[in-house]
Amino acid sequence: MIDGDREQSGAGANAALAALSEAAALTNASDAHDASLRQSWLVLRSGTRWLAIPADSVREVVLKNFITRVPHAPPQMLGVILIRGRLVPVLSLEGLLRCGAADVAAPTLPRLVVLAGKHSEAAIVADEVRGIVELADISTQNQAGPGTRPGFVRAEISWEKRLLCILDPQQLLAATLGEAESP
Amino acid sequence: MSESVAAAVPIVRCFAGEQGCGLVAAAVERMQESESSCPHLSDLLGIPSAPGAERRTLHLFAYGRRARVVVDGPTAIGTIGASDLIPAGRLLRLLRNGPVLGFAKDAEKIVLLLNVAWLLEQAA
Repeated sequence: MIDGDREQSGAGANAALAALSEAAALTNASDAHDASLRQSWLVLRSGTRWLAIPADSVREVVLKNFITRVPHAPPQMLGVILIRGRLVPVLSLEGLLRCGAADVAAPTLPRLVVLAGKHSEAAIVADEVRGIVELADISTQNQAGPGTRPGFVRAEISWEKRLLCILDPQQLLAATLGEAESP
Repeated sequence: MSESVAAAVPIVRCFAGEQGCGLVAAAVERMQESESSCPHLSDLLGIPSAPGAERRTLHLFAYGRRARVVVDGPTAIGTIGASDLIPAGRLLRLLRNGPVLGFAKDAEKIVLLLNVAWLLEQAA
């Protein structure tokens, strides 16, 4: 092969590699874009409200056990519970969202969903846990304006003929435990 | 100068209804039979009392104040050390100046460590 041909084939291969690399980068970007629109959520019912929590914010789900009431604790706190030696405050979402207790039979036992914050954790009572679901971009489906909901409710969307309340766990912990404060 | 932390603190264990509680033994002058004229710990804490429980009156003295409070039994004297305490993190901030100073563990049950200063103020 003469030098000119070698130069041409080298340049072509290089261009082909560049194009391949570019295509791969575009594929990754597209996947990442899709991933940002889809997210896994833990769907549960607390009282009469159906709620969704980002699955990666859930530390664990445990069966609801005896909750120790803490005298003079803030009204949004039902009490505390020991989970594997950790003292975990239990929050009343019914109180925070001003929704009543539901008069429906649940197919699952009540559970505590433990939310992980940056500096602390807290549990919420789930009367029924539906499991992990994938939801498309919730911002495009929001049915409630920002002024009509508490700060820890990111959105309200329609899901399986129900109104699903999308929670922001960090905002919830900040509102109830002062999570945003410095340690 | 930082305060030194005691390795173990003597406490009086008692109950408010079914809830286990503890308060510093140094603030308890004596324990007697229940007196109906004294406030009940359950009422002060807002916890349902246990109707059939054996009751005692604790005579408290601390911070230059005296008060009597009725508690549910069984009562006992013991010590509490760092290994008995359950770290409460930021939760304690929310409870500051209230009746609960902290939490201890006793056979997987939570014991409320009570603030004697608050009790004296409420029961006096």
